[in-house]
Amino acid sequence: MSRIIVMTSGKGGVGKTTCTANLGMALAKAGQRVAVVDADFGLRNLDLLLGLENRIVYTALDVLAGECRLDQALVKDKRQPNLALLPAAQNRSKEAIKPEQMKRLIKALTKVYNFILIDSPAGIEMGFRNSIAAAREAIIVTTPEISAVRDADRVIGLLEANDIKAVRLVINRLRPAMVAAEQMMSVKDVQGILSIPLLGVIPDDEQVIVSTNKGEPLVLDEHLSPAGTAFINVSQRLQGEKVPLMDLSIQKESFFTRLKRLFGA
Amino acid sequence: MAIPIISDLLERLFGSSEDPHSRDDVKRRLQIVLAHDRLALDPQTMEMMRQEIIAVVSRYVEVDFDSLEFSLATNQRVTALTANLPIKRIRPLGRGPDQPIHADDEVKRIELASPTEASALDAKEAEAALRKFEENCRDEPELIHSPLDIDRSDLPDLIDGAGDALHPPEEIEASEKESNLLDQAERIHSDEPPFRKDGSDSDALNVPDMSIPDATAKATSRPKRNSK
Repeated sequence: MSRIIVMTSGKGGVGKTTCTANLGMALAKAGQRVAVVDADFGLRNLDLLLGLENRIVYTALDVLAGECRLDQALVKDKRQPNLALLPAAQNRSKEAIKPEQMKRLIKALTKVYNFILIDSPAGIEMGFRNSIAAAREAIIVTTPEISAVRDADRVIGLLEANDIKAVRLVINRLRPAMVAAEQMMSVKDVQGILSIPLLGVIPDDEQVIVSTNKGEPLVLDEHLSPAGTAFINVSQRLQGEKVPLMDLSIQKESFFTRLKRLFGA
Repeated sequence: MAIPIISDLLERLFGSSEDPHSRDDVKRRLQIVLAHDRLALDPQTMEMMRQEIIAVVSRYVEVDFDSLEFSLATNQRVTALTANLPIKRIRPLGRGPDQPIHADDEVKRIELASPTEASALDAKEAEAALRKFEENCRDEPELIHSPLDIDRSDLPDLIDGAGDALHPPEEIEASEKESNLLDQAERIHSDEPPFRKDGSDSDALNVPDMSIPDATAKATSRPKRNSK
């Protein structure tokens, strides 16, 4: 049976799409047949992060309108043939599609793909309801910030109300130095507050921006950056492997290292 | 000019001198905001609940309004309402919140009286207290007419099973309570001489003599405590 997972957060800009792109790619690399579905109608971005924006011919809406077949709308990744993107329409609003239609699309995808990742839009309105309509599992993406955690909590409540029980947490953009200085919530703090199982922690990493600039997910890098490694770890845990959390602890700066840094040594 | 530079240098070397841990702030703020979010109570309802809780508690004790606290906290997805109501003192039902006990009254009551004198005194006091109580009720009608009085329907069984239990809860109104008070006053008048013959337990003697309506308050609270 295919796994249908919605990536959601409530708040925008916490890294849902980055997580979807990297997890999708990592799962495909691991030999899974993966479809990533952009449910952000009107503000699609998943195609950009995967570097597939120039290859979109049809969108999910065209499939629903009967203007093309589903396989014609799917954009197959050349780097990783196990991965396909079902693009959203960019020139339409989130109300252009209904939950029932989303279910039909996803159901059709389950015949070919064993992992379906749905990239939910921010918010808890129509776009969110569409994206959770067919999902059986959810990954909550949040950052250790008050607004992101609050919104995540709201979304967890909505998922529970919609009978999506398998809900797991990815904490994105953690800055270990700030946690050590007690200026940022720790993984334990966030998980304790949200009280759902932890799937992974992604450290804050400048390479994320570099990879989005190029349209190449981090997990494709030959030498994995910290965030890239963390995404691979998350994908392995998603497949049931036991992978320990990355060691993100940072030694508190000593007087001597501060002295060295001060004088540019 | 040089001082800020030096202090900056020192700060960079030794780390910030005062270290305000914003992590604790964010956790505290989140806990409160999530408790409210999860409960999904609108502020009006919350305020109404607050007012009613204070009204009920104020009927029995004098609450320190300056330092009372209501908070919602959440832990492991379970939300709890915590009310912290510092008590100034127990409020006798016959007295308003701002009426101190008169020193004269105190002195009078300490004296031992003959049974007949005592019961006569009691009857007088009962009447006076009742009048006071009615006055208070006029001043603070919410003490009696608030819909929360319905809660008292649980209590009659505990109040030595007297008349109250026979009435459906809707009927428990101001008049009901007053007649109840009268009952109580009569009962004390007839059955309970306010001192014991042996006179050995003079402390116990002083307990019920604050005023007669207070005796009712005790009657409500004592069996309740025992039942737990």
